[in-house]
Amino acid sequence: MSDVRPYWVATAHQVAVRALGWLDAARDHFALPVDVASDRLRPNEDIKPLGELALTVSIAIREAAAGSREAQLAPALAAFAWAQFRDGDVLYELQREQPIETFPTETYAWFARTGHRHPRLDELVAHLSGLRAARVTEVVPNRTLAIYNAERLLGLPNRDDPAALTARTWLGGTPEPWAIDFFTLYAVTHAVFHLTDWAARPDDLPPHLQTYLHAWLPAWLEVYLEAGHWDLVGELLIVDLCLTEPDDYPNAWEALARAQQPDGLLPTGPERVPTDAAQAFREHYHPTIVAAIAGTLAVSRRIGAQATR
Amino acid sequence: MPVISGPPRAVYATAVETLAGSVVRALTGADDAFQLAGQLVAEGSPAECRARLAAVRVLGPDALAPFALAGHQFGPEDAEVVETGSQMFPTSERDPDATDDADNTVLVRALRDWATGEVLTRLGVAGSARAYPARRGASVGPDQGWLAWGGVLAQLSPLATPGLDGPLHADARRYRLDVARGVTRAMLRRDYLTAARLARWLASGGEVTMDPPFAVEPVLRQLELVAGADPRLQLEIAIARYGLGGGAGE
Repeated sequence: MSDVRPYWVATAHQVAVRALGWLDAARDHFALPVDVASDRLRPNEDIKPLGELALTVSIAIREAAAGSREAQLAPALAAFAWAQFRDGDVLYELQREQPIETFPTETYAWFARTGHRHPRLDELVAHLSGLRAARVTEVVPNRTLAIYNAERLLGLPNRDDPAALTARTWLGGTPEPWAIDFFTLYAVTHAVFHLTDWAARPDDLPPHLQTYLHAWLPAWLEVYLEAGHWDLVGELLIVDLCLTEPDDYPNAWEALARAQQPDGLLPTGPERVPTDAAQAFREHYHPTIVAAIAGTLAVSRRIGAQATR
Repeated sequence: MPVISGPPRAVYATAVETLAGSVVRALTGADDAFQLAGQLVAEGSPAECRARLAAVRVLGPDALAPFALAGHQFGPEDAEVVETGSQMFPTSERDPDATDDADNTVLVRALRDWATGEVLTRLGVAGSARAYPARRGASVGPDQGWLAWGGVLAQLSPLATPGLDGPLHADARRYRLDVARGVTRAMLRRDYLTAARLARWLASGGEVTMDPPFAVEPVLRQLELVAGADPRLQLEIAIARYGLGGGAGE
């Protein structure tokens, strides 16, 4: 393996290792509540963190570029999350009870990437995705790309035109870069994540959108670096890594590493992290997920890359 | 004329705002008459008199915009005000190339004085021209990165006036994207004065097609509608509109 890598990749690697270590230590907080029926689980509080853990480790396994510690942790965490979902039964029950909800399928797709399949859920999802109803799900535009990517990962026929879906997103409109806000930036990051399947398919991001992101990502990143909003900074760094030719932002990586706690938790923003572990988890698990994904992708995509600046 | 009072710093700020407001009204056609001679009227405290002349120095070439851009009659008494202001607040004798000018203060001032000299020359004041500051300017150029360069360009917005051209203007045309990034950042930070100053650089050569697209006029309009009534901000916008070719009148 070539070891020609930009110097900041070592920093990114450290961020990823620490973040993954924190996620592993936080297993109990990711665990689904015991003795609660599937239809009583709360999508945002219960399902989403565990699903995002599955996403994170699915990317770590896919990239296979991390060190030995991650190579050991990632499959173990994937197995843990799958077991929490009772080998897919929970997702199957959720999807069966709420046929036009998309989050069970989207969550399942991360597991499919790591080889965890549930035959009855596969059958159900294949059927549901073929309905006319599936073509007109009432969600914001970047979410249609999430569904598109989930179906792609599950090996279902592509029934939607990604170009048409993309054109309806904020990013697809290439708007004035100053006419954006905090929440819409998340819409932009997620449009990129889904379209490129989290940096696996950079070339699926059309050239004019790559040009647009090369132009304005530096300005957006600078604003939120200054504000110390690490969750969004991390997501914007992932966006860079989803481009065919990432620009690399060494200063942002150094800032992110400085913001990360020794135990690996990356704070959401400049606010103080609560001492109560459960509260700290609720408020800061997401940026730590982001840090793990960003660092993992930085290592895998920039190994062998020449430092460009 | 508003009453000027309070501590010296506030007196100066008020004087600058008052003059900026007059320039804006002249540029937008709200006032038919404009002259600088009033800045010399011996009215109010000595501090206030000094402040009125300081305001002419602070606005530099922008104080002359009504004459240079909007067709107001420039007379000897206006020239006298500029001259008196220059004498009272002389340009530093320090060499802009001096190594201790780390924050570019001297160089920025020299460039603004160069711009004032250029405008005065166009208005027919003999002997006003100054040499362009010799240092082509590693530290006022884009090689320091878009973020730092934007800070310098914002300080130098009086140079971004229709009719003025120089190495910095060439850089601003060539590295237009860097300037647009600065506008974007300033808009998102709600730093509207900086946004207007950088937009003025983009506007100084007229609207230019960019890839990706970045139109200047919507930035100016947005600033007009949301940025508040600060006369210095309105002045930046008004001159930017002349750069776009439409004049500042509504």
